[in-house]
Amino acid sequence: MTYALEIRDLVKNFGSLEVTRDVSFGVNKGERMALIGPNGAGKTTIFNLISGVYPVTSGQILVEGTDITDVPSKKRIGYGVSRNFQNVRLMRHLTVVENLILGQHITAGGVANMMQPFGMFKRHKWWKQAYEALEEARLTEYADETVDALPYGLRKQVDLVRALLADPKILLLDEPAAGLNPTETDELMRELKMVAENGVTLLVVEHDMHFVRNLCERVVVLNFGEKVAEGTMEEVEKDPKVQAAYLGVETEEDDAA
Amino acid sequence: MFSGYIDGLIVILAINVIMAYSAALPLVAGQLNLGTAGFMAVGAYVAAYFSNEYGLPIGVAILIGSMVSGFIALLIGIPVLRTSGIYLALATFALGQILVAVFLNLEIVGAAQGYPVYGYIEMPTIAITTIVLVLALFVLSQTRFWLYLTAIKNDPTVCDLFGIEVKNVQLAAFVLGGMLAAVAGGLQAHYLSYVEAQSFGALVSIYTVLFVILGGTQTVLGPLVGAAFFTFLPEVFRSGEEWRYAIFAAFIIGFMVLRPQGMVTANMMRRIKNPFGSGRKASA
Repeated sequence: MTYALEIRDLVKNFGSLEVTRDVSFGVNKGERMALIGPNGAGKTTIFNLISGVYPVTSGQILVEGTDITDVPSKKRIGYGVSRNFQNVRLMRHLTVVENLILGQHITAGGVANMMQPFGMFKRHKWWKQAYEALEEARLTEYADETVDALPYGLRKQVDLVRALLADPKILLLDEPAAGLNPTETDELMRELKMVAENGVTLLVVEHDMHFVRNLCERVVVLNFGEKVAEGTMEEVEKDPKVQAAYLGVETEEDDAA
Repeated sequence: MFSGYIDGLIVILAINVIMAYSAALPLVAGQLNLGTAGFMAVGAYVAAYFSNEYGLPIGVAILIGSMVSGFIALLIGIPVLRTSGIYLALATFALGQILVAVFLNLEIVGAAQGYPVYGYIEMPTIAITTIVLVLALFVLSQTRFWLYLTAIKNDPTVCDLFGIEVKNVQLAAFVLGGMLAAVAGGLQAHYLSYVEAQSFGALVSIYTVLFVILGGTQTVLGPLVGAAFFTFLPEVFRSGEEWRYAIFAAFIIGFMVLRPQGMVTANMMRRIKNPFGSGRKASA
């Protein structure tokens, strides 16, 4: 079966520094997969490679069997790859609803519709769609607030709604739960499960293990740019290499090497 | 219609407003164009040439000037817009100087002697043209294109990941700006009945950018307010003739320190539209 997202032998070097080394894994359609590992393990780098922010040194990235390794970053959304950023990169000077309109770019007909003066027509389908998405996320009251004026937790929610408006097949989420309070985290978990049920494939980088355990069906563990384990949370937790990565304990293999 | 003084002031205002938008378009996307006077010169000379030599209606001649200027902006914009920040500012500054230098040496349009223009347009025509252009820009400000300009200034990487052709949007803004400056140049040439290259100096470009920055780039109204304010302000200080420009300069410095976001901000516009609260009330 073809994976929704597959990466094969992914290598990224910055000069002589190897950030990821021959990382391979596949995520099934609608699956909730986590990418975990200690700081500097190369998780965010892998996100940057999948979304095209960095070019790969070698290896392949496939979406539903199609090789997108050499597709420019701006075209990858057309293949259904959408991502957020760890530090919430909303457009600060725009309002919440304007940020959502931005997220619709790829579904709104691309370049051809850019000159429609939709702003003058409050009943335009783009506004409607954005307000509906806000209502679903229970954020309607913040529609016209400048993003700058919102607290962090709300910004993260808006960020997610924006990413979803691009109608992604694969959603890459970099620390979606970081900085959220327990209620917000539970809410996010529910929302993401719903998203996956609708067929969106999730790949999540997260440090909150409680969150990962409850959300994700499988995890890939990275350490120093290499994949050290893959499986369910229960499986990888027992893996001595994973324990070593997190606790810094030397394993027998390390001794042998 | 009015006295010569008022007529003249309205024309200066109109030209300044159009110029302000020519600099504002790229600036909304975060790109400083310090060469708008060069595009103004292209518009002035090309329009004057076509109305003089081929007897074309002035409107058509100005349109041709605008197209030529847009074409030059397109050709030059492709390499120049690869740079950003201070390098882009310097590159566009140099570009403006080069364009003016070309006309200063071009014999068919009188070179350094200047170029008399036979067709004449009056103040009301210029005023109406400006109003039409401003209305068109207001409509443009309601499109995705304008929203993307603001978004690109905020975070070009994220725009790119959402599939926006960042470079092309920036180029389009730059070209549209070049076309607008040319219209201002064409109008001015036919009002003053004379074109001389020296009148498109670096100061014109710098003042134009100043209008926009002081008016603010967050809303479509900012450049208009900035241009209007700085057209009338020196007139207000006219009584203190010798100190006029010193006071003017001190005012600009003070303003930039106290209100770097410009006179008109997006939040201000939202408050005007909705004075009793900042957002929609919760539905549930």
